[in-house]
Amino acid sequence: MRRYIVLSAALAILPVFAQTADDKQKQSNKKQEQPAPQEPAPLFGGQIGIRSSQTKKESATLGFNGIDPSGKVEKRMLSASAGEKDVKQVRNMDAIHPTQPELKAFLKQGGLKSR
Amino acid sequence: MIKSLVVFLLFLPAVFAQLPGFGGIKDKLDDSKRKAAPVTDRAQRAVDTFTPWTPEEEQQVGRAAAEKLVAVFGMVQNAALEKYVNLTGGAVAQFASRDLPWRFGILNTNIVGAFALPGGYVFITRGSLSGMTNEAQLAGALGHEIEHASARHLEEEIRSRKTSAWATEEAMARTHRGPAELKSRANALVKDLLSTALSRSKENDADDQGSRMAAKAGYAQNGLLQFLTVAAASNADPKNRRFFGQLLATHPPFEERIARLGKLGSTRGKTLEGRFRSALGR
Repeated sequence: MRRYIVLSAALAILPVFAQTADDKQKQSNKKQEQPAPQEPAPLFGGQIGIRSSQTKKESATLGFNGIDPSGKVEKRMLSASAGEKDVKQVRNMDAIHPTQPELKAFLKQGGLKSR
Repeated sequence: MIKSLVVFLLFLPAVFAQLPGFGGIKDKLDDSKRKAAPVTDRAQRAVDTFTPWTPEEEQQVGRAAAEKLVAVFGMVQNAALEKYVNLTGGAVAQFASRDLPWRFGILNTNIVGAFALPGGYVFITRGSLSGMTNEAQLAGALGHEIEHASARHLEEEIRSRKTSAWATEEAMARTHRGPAELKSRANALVKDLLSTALSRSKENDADDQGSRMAAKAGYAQNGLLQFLTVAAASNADPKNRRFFGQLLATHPPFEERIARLGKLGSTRGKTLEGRFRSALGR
């Protein structure tokens, strides 16, 4: 009789153990699903948060279009002639040039010195 | 009668030119003119090769070379970021030795580098910006280029090299002025810019003066030093070497520059990391 009582108690407890093991498995799965802590973006070659950078062939080759394996500019790249678009972009540099009040505000905001 | 005489006098030179003796004299005169011309051109070219540009010429050549550089690499088109780089450059350029209409642009390439063109055109690459972590580093790198442009380092260096393609184009352009000559002069200048190493003394001067200018504006004087230290560490990994090939082909080794800049001392000043990160969208 005593043997039956022990056996029934063991059977009653069994699902509890099974559930604990199941919970542990779920928790471990959850841990695996969580993204790994984000590593800092690599310096050099990492993106710089530009939303509207010019799309050229370069983007297809990870930014090394026209650069040889040693990192020097290939001769064929040097033969590129300035077109209307290039002329316009350089002209636009004049428009982006900051005014004196803009520069003063920038210096003040950063605690920098003016001449 | 008078009319016949006038007609005869008009045709007289042509008649003489047909005579064997007189024709020979004319040919000899023409021949001596032809021989004298190249000598005059060569002398003029030699003079022109060593004549510094006027401010107007400097602007013209700088603009044409900037157009060529943009044609080679493309330009980052982001008004806010471009403005930020111009403001940082403007802060440093206040202390330049020459007052030029400074314009700063971002070249759309992963290679690490910055370029100064005549007339105050300064470019930094997207690759350089991606490796920086604060505004003082950007100020130091731009300061280096501002000093090159202020002191006309590139112009001086190339002018002193007889073999330079640019020196030849330069002399040609002075003799035959025109848009085609300006373009070919700019092409040769950019070719030299991307392949010519300036003298050690000019690079050292640009490092020292560039860092000092940034410090005068209130930035940490070691901004350029910080940037070069990070670049040297990154370059030590063989898979990153491609980023630095262009820079190291035209500049002294990182270690040498780091050692020199380390002697300048003073690390006080602003680094403005937060403003830099925000401008770059990090």
